[in-house]
Amino acid sequence: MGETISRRETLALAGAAGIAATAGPFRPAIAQSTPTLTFGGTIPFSGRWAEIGQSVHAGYQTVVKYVNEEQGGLDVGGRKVRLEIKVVDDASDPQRATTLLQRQIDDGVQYFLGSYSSPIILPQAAIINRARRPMVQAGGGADAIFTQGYRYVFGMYPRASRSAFPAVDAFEALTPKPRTFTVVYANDPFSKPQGEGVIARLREKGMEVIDTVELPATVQDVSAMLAAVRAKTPDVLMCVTSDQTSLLIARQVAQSQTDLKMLFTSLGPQATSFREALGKFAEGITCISTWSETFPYKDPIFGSTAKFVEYYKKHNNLPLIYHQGTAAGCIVAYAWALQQVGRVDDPNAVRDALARIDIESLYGRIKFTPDGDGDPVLMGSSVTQVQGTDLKVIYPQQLAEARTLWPIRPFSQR
Amino acid sequence: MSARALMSVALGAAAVGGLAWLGTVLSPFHLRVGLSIFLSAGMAIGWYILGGFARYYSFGHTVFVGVGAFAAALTLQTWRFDGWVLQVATGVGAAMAASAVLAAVIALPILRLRGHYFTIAMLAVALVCAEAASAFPVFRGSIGLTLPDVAPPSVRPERFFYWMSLGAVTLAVAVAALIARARLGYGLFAIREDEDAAQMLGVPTTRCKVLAFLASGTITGLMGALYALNLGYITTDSVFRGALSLDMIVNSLVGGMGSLFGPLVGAVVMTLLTKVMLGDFLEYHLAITGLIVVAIVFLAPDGLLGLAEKAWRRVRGGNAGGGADPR
Amino acid sequence: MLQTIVNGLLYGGTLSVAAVGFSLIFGVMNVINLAHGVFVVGGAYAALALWTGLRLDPILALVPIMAGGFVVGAAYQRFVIGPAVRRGSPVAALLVTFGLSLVVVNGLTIVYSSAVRNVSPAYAFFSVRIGDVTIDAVRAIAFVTALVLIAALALFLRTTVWGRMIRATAQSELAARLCGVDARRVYALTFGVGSAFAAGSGVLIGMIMPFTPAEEVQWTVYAFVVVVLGGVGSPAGAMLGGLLLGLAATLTQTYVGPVYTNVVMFMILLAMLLVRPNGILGSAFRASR
Repeated sequence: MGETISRRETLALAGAAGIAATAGPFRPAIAQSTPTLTFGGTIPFSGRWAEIGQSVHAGYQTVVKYVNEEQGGLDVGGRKVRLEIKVVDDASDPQRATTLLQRQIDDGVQYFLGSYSSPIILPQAAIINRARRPMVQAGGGADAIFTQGYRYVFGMYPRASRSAFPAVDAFEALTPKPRTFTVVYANDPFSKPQGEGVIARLREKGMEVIDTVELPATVQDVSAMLAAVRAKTPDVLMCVTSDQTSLLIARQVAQSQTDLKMLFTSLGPQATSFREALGKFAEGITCISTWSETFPYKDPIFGSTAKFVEYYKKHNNLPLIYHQGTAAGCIVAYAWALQQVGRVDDPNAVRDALARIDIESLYGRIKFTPDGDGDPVLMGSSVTQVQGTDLKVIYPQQLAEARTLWPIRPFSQR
Repeated sequence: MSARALMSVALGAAAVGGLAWLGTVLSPFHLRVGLSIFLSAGMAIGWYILGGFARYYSFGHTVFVGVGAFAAALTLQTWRFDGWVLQVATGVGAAMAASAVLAAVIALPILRLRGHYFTIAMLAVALVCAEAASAFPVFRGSIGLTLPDVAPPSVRPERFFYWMSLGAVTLAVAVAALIARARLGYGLFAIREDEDAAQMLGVPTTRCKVLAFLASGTITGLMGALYALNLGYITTDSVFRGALSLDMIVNSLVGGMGSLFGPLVGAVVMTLLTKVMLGDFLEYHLAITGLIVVAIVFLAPDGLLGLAEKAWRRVRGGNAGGGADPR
Repeated sequence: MLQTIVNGLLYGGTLSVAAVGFSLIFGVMNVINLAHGVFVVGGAYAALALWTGLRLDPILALVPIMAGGFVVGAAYQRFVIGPAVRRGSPVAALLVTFGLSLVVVNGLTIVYSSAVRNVSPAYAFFSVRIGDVTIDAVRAIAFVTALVLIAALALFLRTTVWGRMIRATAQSELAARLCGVDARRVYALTFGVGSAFAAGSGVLIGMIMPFTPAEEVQWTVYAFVVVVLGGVGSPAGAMLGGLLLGLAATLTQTYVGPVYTNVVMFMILLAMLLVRPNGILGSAFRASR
């Protein structure tokens, strides 16, 4: 690490001497006999999304490292091609992200990976589409990314408004069937459509939504909201919220002994720190996981999800969460498309191949809708529940690792 | 017009012409860098009309960027015109009108405050507007607004916005320079030196401050509209951002608070440094930006231009008369 | 209704103690410390480290963490803020505090990542029910601790020699100097005490809610609101401002909608600034006007 940084520092100092240096093309990889294919893009290594950015990056890197080091490159049209990732820090800032992306397009990068969060991906999508280079991303779910006719942008999960459907379906499948729901959602570009989608889906399935609460994007205290929830306690409290808000809600639910039959938080339990912070009170909380390391899938590169997980853990310290899985899926999809096309210099053909992809991978089935987002059924999330100290997949049926704890043990009796 | 003023107008026109010509030859990436520089320079100039001339430091100028951006987005969604001229005119016009109205409404109460209190009050205004844009569903700030692609099909969008923002910066500089040379400017400089004394000497301090605030807000709002049109998608977080307010201040400070060139130089240097070079520094760039700010305060309190001037004087053998225009 | 008021007061206690240090520094030195939130969040992380490393209960951890906050704060004033103020304007000092807060937040993110953290002592999940009102044990403990801390600060300022020197310097640095007060040491002392309280409040916040490094901005802003509402420079002002703000927040949450909480809080800030910038208990400290 220290070495790379000092090299960067020197580069930047050299750059400071003359602006021209900053504009130079990407340094070609040190001369090698095998040709190199570069994936470009930006990643939030700092700012609001820094942590997730690091996970996404680690997911990309793991596949590329494996292909290069274990397989000597990717087999494209009978030749081995070395893969390379050139991503730069967009600092969670959309203006900066577009400038940096344009630089890579100018430098001739032909294939792009996604940053994280819709406000960054959306402006990038417009640029990418104009440049006619494909982007496969696992970071932006906002509906607008997929409803404006951008043909070159593919997302690894269903658009926001459809992305929490599996949770509703999972609860519908329970016996006895839960009757009443309260839906809480955060007022941000992803959670709000996701939450509204949940409400619509619940009503569509004939389930009763007794209350809906809109929370600000960040909250310090939800005791007032929970007092209202206690006043008419639903069977299921569904929270479409960020990790931090979810943890706050779960803690205060436990503290105030709000006895729900089920607590769902769209994000949160997938993080070890969340489960540790709640201890025995985490038991039974459900969330959706786009990906889980226990998935039983086959994969064209690693062989299986389990082998990917093993390889990842051997080479990384960063905890494995679903972002690594979705990110790895992006590269796997690219690899398949490149092999279909049989050459590395035709981004248009690669786009067309991506549009018709339908494979099983470490991430699960990969098949996009004509709009470019993940197929809502085939690429829908799994639903997981905290059982013991682990997270177990409980839905869909064919992936289930454990029976759903239902109803969960009342918080007041723990 | 004095010879010197004529000279600076001619030089300015030549510089703008040169930059406009550059727009035809630069690569898309360089166009985007140029565009980023123009946008931050324009915002910094907007801020400087109040912060530099009268030394009323606003810590919430992003409110005008946000209001401008939202006004442009909302009007363009409501009225769909054909043709880029009409679209840009509507968007930019709505942005400038909305920021001017906001400035007019808050000017009198807020400009009664001085020093830190004005600074915090502007921060509060920005926070209130940002939260309102998110909370009230009519503004749709939390889920985001898409803006139409206004660039005509025959011009590359980054080139189009390069020229548009160059035009806006030119306008901003022209307005600021005119203010500096008008009675208004002298009033503001008097306020900067000692507001109470200025008032006692008959300077209409309130009128001066209100006018400067209006000009400052309107120009910043104009830049906000271009910022939004260029991105094509905005949320509360992307346009009502504390970081934007801060950039305006830091750019002015880095360049130097001595003259209008300060914010321009600052915007060029800081944009190249933070947006372009530090892209390679991954997780350390926040800390580096912070250290630059600290270093400027300690090592170059008068900004880069101040440093350059000092160096120049030393070369010339301590000729104190060579100082630049105090503006 | 009663539940809402209780919740509001409990939350307000935390806000008060989180703002009191900021208030002291602003009131005495006329420096807006944009790094205030960093001390708060830093305190929370320190509590986390002591909890996970030594299993030290956060309430006990208050002692070493506040001591640490004092030392860091005093040094910070001596070597950074002081020179910055002497070199330029208070605005220069403000920018320096901002620049350094960027550095520290970046450092925290690298060490702890931006993952959501939380300190959960055993009593974190208890609650007490009195009639219809539920009180979270951990919030009640934090509230009582906050009251004790603020009362201690008020006593310190009122009864000790150093406290008198701080108040004297706040009223007029020149006059205080003429009476033989070493203003530089008073400034370092003030900054140390202010930072100690910020760090201490971070410990309490870490106990009752999840936190991340980027959170610091919020705590700086809330400190602004509390101080402007209650009045600059006095523990009583911070107390009053915090409690009122906590009430306003929970009342809005319950009766208007949680989404509008921040709108209301910032509207209060703005309204106070325009109507009565000295705050409800505004004193004659020099920062006012």
